[in-house]
Amino acid sequence: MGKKYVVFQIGEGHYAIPLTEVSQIIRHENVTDVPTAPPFVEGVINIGGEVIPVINLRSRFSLSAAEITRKNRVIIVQRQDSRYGVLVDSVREILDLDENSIAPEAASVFGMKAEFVRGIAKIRDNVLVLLDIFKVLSTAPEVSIKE
Amino acid sequence: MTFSGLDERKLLRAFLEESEELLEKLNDNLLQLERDASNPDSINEIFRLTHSLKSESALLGFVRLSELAHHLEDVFDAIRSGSISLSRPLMDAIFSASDLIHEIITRISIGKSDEEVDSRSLIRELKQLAELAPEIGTQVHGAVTLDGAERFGDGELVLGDFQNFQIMEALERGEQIYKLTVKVSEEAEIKYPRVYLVFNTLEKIANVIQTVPSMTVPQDDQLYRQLTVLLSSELDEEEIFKACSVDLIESHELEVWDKASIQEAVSASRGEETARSVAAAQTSGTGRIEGTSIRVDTNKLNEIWQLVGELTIYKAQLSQLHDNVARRKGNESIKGEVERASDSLERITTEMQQAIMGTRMVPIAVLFNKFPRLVRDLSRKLGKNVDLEIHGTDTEIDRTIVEVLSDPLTHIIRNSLDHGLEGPEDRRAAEKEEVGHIMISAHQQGGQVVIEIADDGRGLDVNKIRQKAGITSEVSDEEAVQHIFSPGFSTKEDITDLSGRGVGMDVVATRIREDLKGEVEVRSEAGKGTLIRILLPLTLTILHSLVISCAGYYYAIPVQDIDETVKVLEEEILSEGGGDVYSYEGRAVPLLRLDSVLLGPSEDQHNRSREHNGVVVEQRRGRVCLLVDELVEEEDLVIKPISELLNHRRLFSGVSVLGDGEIIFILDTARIMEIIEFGGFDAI
Repeated sequence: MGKKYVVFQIGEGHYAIPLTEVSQIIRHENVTDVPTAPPFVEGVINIGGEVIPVINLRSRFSLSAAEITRKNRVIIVQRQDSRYGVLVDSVREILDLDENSIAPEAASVFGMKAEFVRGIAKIRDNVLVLLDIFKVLSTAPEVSIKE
Repeated sequence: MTFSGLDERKLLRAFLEESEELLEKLNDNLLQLERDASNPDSINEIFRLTHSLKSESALLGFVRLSELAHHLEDVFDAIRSGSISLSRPLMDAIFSASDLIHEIITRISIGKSDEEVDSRSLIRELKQLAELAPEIGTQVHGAVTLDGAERFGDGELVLGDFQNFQIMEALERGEQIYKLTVKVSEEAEIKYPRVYLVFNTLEKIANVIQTVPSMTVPQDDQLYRQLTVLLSSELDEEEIFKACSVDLIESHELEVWDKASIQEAVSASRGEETARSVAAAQTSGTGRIEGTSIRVDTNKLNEIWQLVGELTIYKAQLSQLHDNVARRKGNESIKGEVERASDSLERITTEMQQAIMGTRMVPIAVLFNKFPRLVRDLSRKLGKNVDLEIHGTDTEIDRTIVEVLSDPLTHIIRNSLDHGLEGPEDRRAAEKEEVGHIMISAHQQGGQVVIEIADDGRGLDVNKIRQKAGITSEVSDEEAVQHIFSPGFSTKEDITDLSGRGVGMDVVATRIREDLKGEVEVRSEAGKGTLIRILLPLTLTILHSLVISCAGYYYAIPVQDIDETVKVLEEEILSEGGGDVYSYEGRAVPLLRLDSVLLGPSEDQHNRSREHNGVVVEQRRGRVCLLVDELVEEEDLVIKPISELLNHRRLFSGVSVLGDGEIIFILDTARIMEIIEFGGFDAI
């Protein structure tokens, strides 16, 4: 038995984060714009009285802006007490990944800096980037995720 | 005794909590004792405290701690019995022991063993000093037995509910509880009449709670060889003794029951709860029985707090719903019902919010109580004679504020002692009383708590401050001294062992202003002294705010920051020195469009209406009039922290959620004014 991952798409790239880091997946609704926030901050969302920042991953990955469609999802990730929403183009599937199918060496893929990559897996001809989402979220806004 | 893992952890936690409280009391009583070495209350209390520390730590296997507590107990046992007196070196050793106990408990709390602590030399010193101390003080009549277990193990006095009740009542009246034992000489052939005489006299001068054997139901005369009487009276020992001057009464023994003994006796008969009430009755000085209290994990309180916060949101949602329903026609009876239900919910939620807020409040005594010790230690170290006065200890304040306030306040007091107060010679030279004074006080004023720290020392050196901060002569002295709070201001002369190595008042001010949303100001007169006044909000979690809208966003401005809301007509706006101003109360107040502050200058000048809503906010830096689109409503907002990610310009002090789920940003007006002062975002 492997570990469960949530697979999502940004642009042409497929990314995965462990299901254990995800608390819920919702549609892009009721996201409030935040004045003065950096451009990649999509806004804030009220979940059970808690105000959670939503990050536009497309923008964080320095990709051109795209219109919000029915396919867009906000993945709520949680670690300890802090929760964040991550806006992605679409959520593909929830996948069982065997340890053996993951190449653990951090490497630069899709032009992304190696430090944000936990490993790489190949699924049905697609390259899947195992993303260190909290590393991405905790990196200062002015630091680029891409090389 | 063995415990399962969980029990042991629970026990340990309970032990740590209790010992913290115990240490605090120990410290208080030691300080009291130092002022008045013959105070029997303090001696008895310390004895009791060390005794329970000894047994509790032994139970949990903390051998070193138990041993140390045991030796302290012995010392106080000897002091109590009058066989030794308190010398200054002994007092110092006792203080060191109390510090070591504190250290050991801290070690235990972080999971370390108490065995690595070396207490031997201190114990040796305690023993030596206790033996060396000469025997002085008045000898108490008869013997005073000390070991509680022995006393109550003999089954002499068995207290029932009625007796306990009498004890509590007596304590409320402020009376002493005595246990008197008289022995009738073997020569007396009939014993009962002898003890009856004693009993009879006692009945006249005191309140007899119980006798063994019973005096009301006569028994076999031989049983009256010895009579034990438990009584309460406001009289002192001497007068009780007089009652025993009866022929053929051979010996008598009188014990004054201290708190510990009463508690032990009462708890042996009735369980912990009553014992606690007794303790409360005695502690409160006036003898009034206080309400019972329990310890609650702050996390649990926070959880309830969060839930109440959510409840207020839904309450607001419901009342909006009700407003919507009310606007429609028909269903009048249902409307009425909805209105009543909505009103009741509103009232209950508000009360609940206040009640739960009450649980967050603690008397500021929890903070102030540590200062007598601090002042004592520091003044001795500095060779200064200091008299400390503390007022308003029952002023209540949010416990989270207390936690943050502790360090800055300590620093201010250290500063007063270290730099403010002169040494004895300087004071004599200045024709001042040799003893320096420090006064710490707290009181509530409106929605704020005011804390003042005053000393009668040499005052601040205004010229030095002017020089260091580069202040021109146009600035008054009163304003110039406020610069000690400016970021980066720390005079080099500050660097001594005592005042925290150069961490000056600027750091104190930052903590108070930024972390506590408070204010701090100083008044000083050369040669006369310094007064530092701190203004703090009662709580940090609920903020009475004005909700405003601006360029499509909702914001809240804390009402405490607002001077007034005004209507500003276009023609009243004057351009002056590159910026807009508005004449307010005869003074030109800088005028700012909130949207341009937050979102950058906007181009659509033509879109301006003739009349604007202005909010005049006042801060230490001065006043500014903020132009906004609409004033929405005043509301009590539950403040939630804002993620760093959303607030890199630190414009907001938090976020909140309105009744309709709308997210609202709370403006940090002090920060906005700082930005204005430095010329906008680009300049900072």
